[in-house]
Amino acid sequence: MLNDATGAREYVNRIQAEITEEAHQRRESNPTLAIQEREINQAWTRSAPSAAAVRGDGASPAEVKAHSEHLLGCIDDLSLLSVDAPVGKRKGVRQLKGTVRALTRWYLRYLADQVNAFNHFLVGFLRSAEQRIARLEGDAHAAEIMGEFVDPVLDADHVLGQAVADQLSQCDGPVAVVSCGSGRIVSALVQAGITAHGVDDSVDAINDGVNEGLDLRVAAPSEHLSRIADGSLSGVVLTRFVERRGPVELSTLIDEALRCVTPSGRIVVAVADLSARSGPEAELLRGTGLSPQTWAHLLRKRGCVVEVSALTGSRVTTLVTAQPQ
Amino acid sequence: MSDITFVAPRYGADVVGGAELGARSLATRLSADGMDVSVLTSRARSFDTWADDYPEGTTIEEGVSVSRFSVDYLRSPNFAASCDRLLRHPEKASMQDAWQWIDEQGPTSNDLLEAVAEVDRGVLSFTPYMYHPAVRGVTVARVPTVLHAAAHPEPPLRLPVFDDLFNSVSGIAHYSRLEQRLVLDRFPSTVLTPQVVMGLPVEAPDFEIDPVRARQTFGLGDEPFVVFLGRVLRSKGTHELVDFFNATRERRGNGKLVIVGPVVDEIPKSKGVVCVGSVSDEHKFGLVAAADALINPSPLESFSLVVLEAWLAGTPVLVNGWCGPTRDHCEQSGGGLWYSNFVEFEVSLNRLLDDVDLRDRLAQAGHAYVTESFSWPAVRRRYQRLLSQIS
Repeated sequence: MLNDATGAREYVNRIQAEITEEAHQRRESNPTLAIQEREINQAWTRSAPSAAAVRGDGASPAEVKAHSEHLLGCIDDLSLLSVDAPVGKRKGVRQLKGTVRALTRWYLRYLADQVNAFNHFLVGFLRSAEQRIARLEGDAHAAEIMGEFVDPVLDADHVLGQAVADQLSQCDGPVAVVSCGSGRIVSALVQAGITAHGVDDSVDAINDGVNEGLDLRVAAPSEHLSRIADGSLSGVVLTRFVERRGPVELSTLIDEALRCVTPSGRIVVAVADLSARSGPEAELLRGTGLSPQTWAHLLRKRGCVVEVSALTGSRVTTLVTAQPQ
Repeated sequence: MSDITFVAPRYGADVVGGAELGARSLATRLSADGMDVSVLTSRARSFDTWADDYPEGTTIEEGVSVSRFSVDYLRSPNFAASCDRLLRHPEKASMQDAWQWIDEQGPTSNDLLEAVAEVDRGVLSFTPYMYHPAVRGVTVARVPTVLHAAAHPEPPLRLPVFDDLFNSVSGIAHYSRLEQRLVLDRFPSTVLTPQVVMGLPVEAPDFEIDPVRARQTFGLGDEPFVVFLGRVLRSKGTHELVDFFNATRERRGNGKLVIVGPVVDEIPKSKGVVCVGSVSDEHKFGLVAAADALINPSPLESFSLVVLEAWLAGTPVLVNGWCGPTRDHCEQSGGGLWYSNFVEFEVSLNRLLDDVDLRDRLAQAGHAYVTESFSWPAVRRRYQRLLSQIS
């Protein structure tokens, strides 16, 4: 269905892939084109700021890899120094320029060969470093990769949104909702008169909420919290995303959340119980997420006063609310 | 006193510029919806010198009260050259040099600033970030402020003088998600400032779009053509577009590039390129609807109204893949293609010119995207959410 946004996106991505492939084939079959494009690309490098090309924080590992490969390809293309000077079209000029070029080549060839050898080594080294980083990232993202084979964590429902708003009703400062999805919790907080914003690492997840005018941003949760000054939030809500992350990342997130909240602030953890996982989900997501009881334990160990409350009518059946001491 | 007061360097139906068009578009629509809206601006039509063009004083334009003030001095013709050194390493500029740059950038008007300081009700809405009225105006504001920054990844954004501006406004309305990311990266402390990715309202014109008449008027015959819309500026990629287009045309043997908009930086004459200058809205939409595609080669856009207007007119787009916001529109909507180098440009253009089915599919997807996300009710809902948070 063309009016279906996902279908349209898939269609345009397929066309773009065909264009990239055709462009690649044309470069391979026409060396003159490669030289011309090199010149034009250099002009682009001057006029197109690199920052304009950076993709969103929510880029998948595959997108990051493709971007790195593209950059390495550009470095490779631009690393070759040529001592060939252009030759004129008219006969006399052509002969003169040809002589100049021959002399230039003779004089500069030795130098250019050395620089090219160095560049070649450098590009090789970058590629090797890229492969090593990719292997490390592969290990680090194992849970995330396996997580792609199970359904995404469901968005917060209205019951959960209202329960979180109740827990934070005393907040007199801003609240950050980590992994906000379409923004139901943010919406409930705003309706309760609390200044709130949400952050999520998925563009698609937040699109509906952004269209509604909610203050939702795309960013990696830890990176987002790291930008917030000490003690400037009244509350932090941790939900959805944290159900698919490993203990080290969750520990970092707790530290960041505790740093961001005021002494009278609160951290609310709204996650489903791990024992509710079954079948492939239980197996593929092994080693990720923490049960509400473990969250409560961790927060107590960090010196918080913790309250665990039951919730009915929602996928999340237990809320953990912590107040730093 | 108004519910909302826009502060812009220039304002008027014949002022060309994305942020200025955005301000006018919001102001007139909010006014039509019953809000009390006013505008404080300079008398200038062009930013080259900020020379007084419009009459001084207050007029009612499309329901909006517009007050224009004379500038204290004109912008020096050597301004661009004189700030070249400063903008090579803007992050290293001293505050004094950066403030001097703002004052020279203009439009500098003490009367305008006094009017800003007198606003004691509603919200002050500044746009764009880079000019004197916003940077100085925010410091004298007495009511909550919104910044429509229209920020691009350009050197001036890195000048230290803008930290105070972004950190002191009450709320920020971004044109796109990528603009929001750029601002959060450059000004991390805005992380707690209420903000919204609002976009701008884009709606079909209230006249019938006539592509046949546009083709006839500009003598385009039956040849396939693509259109560029906007100011002809080197920094907007127009010159690269002309080079790319000519190289492509030489190989394929047909096609025209029609350039619509005021020429700031002259482009060399060539056989396949037709410059029609500024035209009426009727002709503009007619040309866009008649074109096989609209091309936006700019690497620096924060929203790009023309891309969305092209989709409304039923025309697919081809954009510079290095420009985050325009590429994001294409990726999100499935309504356009993008290129990152010359060969991709040539392959994409050939496909667009030769494949009717592709053009129709892209245009249809783009149209759905605009009507769903950028209708006036959708944009107003987002804006009002922000206003209610900061008021």
